Amino acid sequence: MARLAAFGLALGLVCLQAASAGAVSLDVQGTRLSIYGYLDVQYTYMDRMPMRMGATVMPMDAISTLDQDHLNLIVHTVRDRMVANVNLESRHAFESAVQNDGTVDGHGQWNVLEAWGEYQFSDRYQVRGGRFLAPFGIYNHMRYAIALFAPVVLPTIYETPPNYQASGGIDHLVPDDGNVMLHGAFEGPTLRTEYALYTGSGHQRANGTDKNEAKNVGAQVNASAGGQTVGVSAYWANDEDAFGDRVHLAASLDLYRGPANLQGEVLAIRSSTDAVDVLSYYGRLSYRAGSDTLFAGYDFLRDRSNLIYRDGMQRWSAGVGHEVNPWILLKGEYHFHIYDGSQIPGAVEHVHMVRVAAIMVF
Amino acid sequence: MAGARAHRLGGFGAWGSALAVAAVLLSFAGAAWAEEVVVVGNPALPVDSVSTEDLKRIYVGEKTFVGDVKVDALDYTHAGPVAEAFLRAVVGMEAKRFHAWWVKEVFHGGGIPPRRVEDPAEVLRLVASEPGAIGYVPASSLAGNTSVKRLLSLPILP
Repeated sequence: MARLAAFGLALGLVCLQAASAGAVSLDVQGTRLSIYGYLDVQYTYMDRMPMRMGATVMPMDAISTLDQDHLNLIVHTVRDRMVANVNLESRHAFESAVQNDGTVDGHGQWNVLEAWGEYQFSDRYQVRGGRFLAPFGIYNHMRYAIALFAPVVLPTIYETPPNYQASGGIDHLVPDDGNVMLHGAFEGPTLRTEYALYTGSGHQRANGTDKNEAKNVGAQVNASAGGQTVGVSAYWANDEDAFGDRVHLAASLDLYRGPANLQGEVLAIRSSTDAVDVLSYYGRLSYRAGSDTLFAGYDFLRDRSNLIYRDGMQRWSAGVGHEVNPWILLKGEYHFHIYDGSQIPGAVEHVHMVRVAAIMVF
Repeated sequence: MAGARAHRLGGFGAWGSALAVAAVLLSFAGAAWAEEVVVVGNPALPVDSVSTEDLKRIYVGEKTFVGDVKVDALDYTHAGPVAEAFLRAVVGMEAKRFHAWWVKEVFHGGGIPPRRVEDPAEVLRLVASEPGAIGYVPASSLAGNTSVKRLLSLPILP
């Protein structure tokens, strides 16, 4: 009860802040510098969670946490055909703090998520260099800002639950960073085709340094017509010391019909050493009615080498988002997890989770 | 990657935009005090007109070049009736929703929001002096101005 009261208080403070919402922008001698940001306050309740303890699985006690989770700032600079972005983030929520070894760290630290510069030759050809989220699927290149888009919890493809340790040490199921990218869009009478080709330094080591001997390359193509978009993404990485070559393949669709939106994606990951065998997919239907958005979805994640996920985890979700005004969003959602691992001693079969969030854009 | 920006507007969609433009035209067709809003561009732009659909793509960041010229779209810091009517007709959103939408687009991974300026006089000054600049002003502010190119006229509320 006290947590809910605190959430209400925090929400009130966020609403008061809205009176001054708006980006800070400065124009000096042909260079435009703007600062954009968002922050959120989240309440999460999870009745229990299966955690891996060595060779077995143990249920963790209920989680009930109120956090000011994200505080993100983007410094955006434009000069003629050049654009530069620096994306800074500070997080507090429990997912960001619980490390794989069970320790808690990183509360409130500022991280440079992205820092890149881009030169735009034309709408068709643009070159980006630096560190940026690789375009992969619908959400990867914007997953740091997912609180701005309904719902709060990303599909499992992009944000695995805290108890997930991916095969052989992959940090994420989707690519992390790219370092150099050629991208653009070709516009036809009815069809718009966007493409991206990128390469980078491979996934990071546990200590955060780039693994320079493990290069990666990736590509994405999205085709849109009349509001309907289909896309394919591919990513190849060479993790020599872990699993050899690793390939991520994904296909997506994003369909709009009036106020309804249907999204779906499927992702498969395989490695040449058979150490990695992951399949994940989801479908989500949302409906916008005025300032409210309702959604319902289904997620599936199976990882053959993961004790908790080797037989698959299903997640059913439903929620609602409400725009108080364009700068303030309220969201609430319920998730029901089904772990198909009853043969594992101590396994948890069902997990309920509720999340409520208030988000302010500025 | 821009994505299908126009369909993430949460507004009316392509058909809806056409209807919104039509509704604006019909709403003010009989109003004696209706005024035109004129879309103006720098004379260096290699076009003599622009469609409302292209204008929408420019203001949502899908189209950033006209020919070889980089477009610099202009909007207003403080949205008055002209800006409200223009944005509703062209992108299908009220001004504050449009500005909040652009913040999300920047977090979405790129895109350049329209540059926001104070008043029509500044729009005309920038459009006249900067290649690629495009903006919109009430027709009354254009009297005698020959330093900008008229690209499109929309009859809307002054």
